[in-house]
Amino acid sequence: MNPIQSFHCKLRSLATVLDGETARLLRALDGEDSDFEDSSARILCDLYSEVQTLKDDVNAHLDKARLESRESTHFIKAAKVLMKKNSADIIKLREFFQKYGYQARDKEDSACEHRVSNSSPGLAVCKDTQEPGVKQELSEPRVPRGSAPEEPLRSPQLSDFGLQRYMVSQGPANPRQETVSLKEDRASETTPAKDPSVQVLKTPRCALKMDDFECVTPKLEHFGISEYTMCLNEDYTMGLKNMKSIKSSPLSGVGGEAVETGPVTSDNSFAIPGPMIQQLEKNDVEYINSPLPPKFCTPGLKIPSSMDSTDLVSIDYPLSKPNSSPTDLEDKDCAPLILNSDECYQSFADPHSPTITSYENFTTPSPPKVTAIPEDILQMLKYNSNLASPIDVKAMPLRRGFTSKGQSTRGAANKENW
Amino acid sequence: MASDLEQLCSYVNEKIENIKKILSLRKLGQDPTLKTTLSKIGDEIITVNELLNQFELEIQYQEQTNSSLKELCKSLEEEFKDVEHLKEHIPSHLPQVTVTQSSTHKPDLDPKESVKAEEPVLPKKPPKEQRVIKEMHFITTDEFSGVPAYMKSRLTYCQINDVIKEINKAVVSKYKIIHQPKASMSSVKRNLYQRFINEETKDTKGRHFIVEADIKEFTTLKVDKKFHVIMNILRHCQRLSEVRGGGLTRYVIT
Repeated sequence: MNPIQSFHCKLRSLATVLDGETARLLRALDGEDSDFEDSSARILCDLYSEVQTLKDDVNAHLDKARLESRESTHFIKAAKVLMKKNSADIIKLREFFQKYGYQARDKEDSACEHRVSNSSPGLAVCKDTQEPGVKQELSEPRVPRGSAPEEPLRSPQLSDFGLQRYMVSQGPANPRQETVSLKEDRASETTPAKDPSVQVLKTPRCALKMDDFECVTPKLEHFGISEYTMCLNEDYTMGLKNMKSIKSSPLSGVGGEAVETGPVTSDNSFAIPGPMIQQLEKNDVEYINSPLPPKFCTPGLKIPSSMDSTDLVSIDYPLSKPNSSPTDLEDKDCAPLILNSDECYQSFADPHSPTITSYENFTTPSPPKVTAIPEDILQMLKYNSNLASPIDVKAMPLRRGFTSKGQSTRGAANKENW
Repeated sequence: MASDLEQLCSYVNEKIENIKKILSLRKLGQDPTLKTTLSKIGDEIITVNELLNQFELEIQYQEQTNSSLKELCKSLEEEFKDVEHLKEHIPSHLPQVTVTQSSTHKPDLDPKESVKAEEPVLPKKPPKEQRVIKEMHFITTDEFSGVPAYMKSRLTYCQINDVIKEINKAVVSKYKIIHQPKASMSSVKRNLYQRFINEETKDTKGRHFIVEADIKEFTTLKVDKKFHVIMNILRHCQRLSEVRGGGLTRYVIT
């Protein structure tokens, strides 16, 4: 009964309140109450105060935060300064320790390993500092310390040996290069050796060519351009030797003389002006030299040579006379005639010298003449008869040849004396 | 049922209150004083907005600070590891540094350069006749690497410095006896003193030296071929010089 009654009572009160409020609100809408204005002002004041309190709270928090940040900034600066000092000190210590065998930790892992592995040496160090008597025991754990540096000591030894090996290997390598260079030098030396050999090979070719040239000159002589050949003979002594050798043979020598004297005489007879005279002089020199050796060589030839000389002398006199008569008749030809007369006088003098030579020749071969067989004499007489017929035809050129020879011999003697 | 009824009542009351407020605010335009109050409220809201913006910027700055602090923390950790590594791997042969009672030395030690100065050890027993005994400095790894291989053979850096330590012990022991007053000497020390005096020459006057007998007397080293090789190495590193005369080889500390 109680809860039901209380519920109904509450419900009734709510209904009454609602009725009252609705009535009041209706009046407020009409604007009849002045209390609303006061309530609005109060509301605004409350709101303003609330906002102000919020502002103050925010300001307080902001100031607090700023203070904290300022403090932390100062702390960071101070901490950095200290860190710099500490790092400098640590660096100094590390350098000092490294002087005496400390090895800086490269990595954190390696550092951990070092700590684990080197904890006992640390203890050893502590013991070392604490108890000097225990140093003997400490020397034993130091040995493994020594083993660690021994390893790097051994490796450079091996590398040193390796370097020594390289040095040894390099040693023979260099002389190999030297030997190669020496071989190159030898090759270079051999090539100049070959070059002079080539030069040596060239020289005999040149010599052969020279021989060819020497061979050619006598051929020209044989073929018969007398002037050119004579000039060549003057230049080359070999040509003269060859001529002498040709004359040494009796038959060939005699034939050669006859052939040579023929064209010479023809030239002399036709050649009257000065330049031809010079050529005649040259020819005379050659004639003088050419016939002398056969006289000395063959005693048989000497006898017919004397007979020939006598005949030539008898013939020369009438030849000289007609020459003098035209000179007296014509005044214009006085100069050339005078020259000719000089030659005639020289020709007169020349037969004397051959006569003397003939006497000398007579004295020398006198015993073989007596000892000689008459048959041989007869054969010679036959040859002389053969020669006499051409002698008659060629009497003048022979005589002139002898005279020219005499002049040349006398000139040579004079030159030799001076 | 009751709770539902109460909720209904509160809801109804809330609505009624809202309606009342709205009706009251309807007349704001008519009253100028209320208008000014409203504008003030607007200005306050604007300033609050600006403050919030500044607060946001400050937060960003603090984030940057936080990141820089983290980096600082990492670098400090790295340095800590380095220091730990240095502590764990202190070389076994470092030159001794004396920490005297005088205050002048203390500031010198700080810049770490005095550590490299390698000051000699001062004996404490005879304070009145306190004299400096010159000792041989340990060789550095650079010097050791500079020794030619044929001279070094298979010796290690630690072995050589161990020998240096022993030689220093011999030198200190010898010159302690020399600097000791004769009255307090025992017969054995007096004999040693006499030998020391006899070994002095013009060349070694004013210098600290030892001979092979001293090595045998004060240390456990064996004077063998290896010892002489090490002597050559020390001479190469200019830690030692030999003075020969009277059938003795004197090793002078340089």
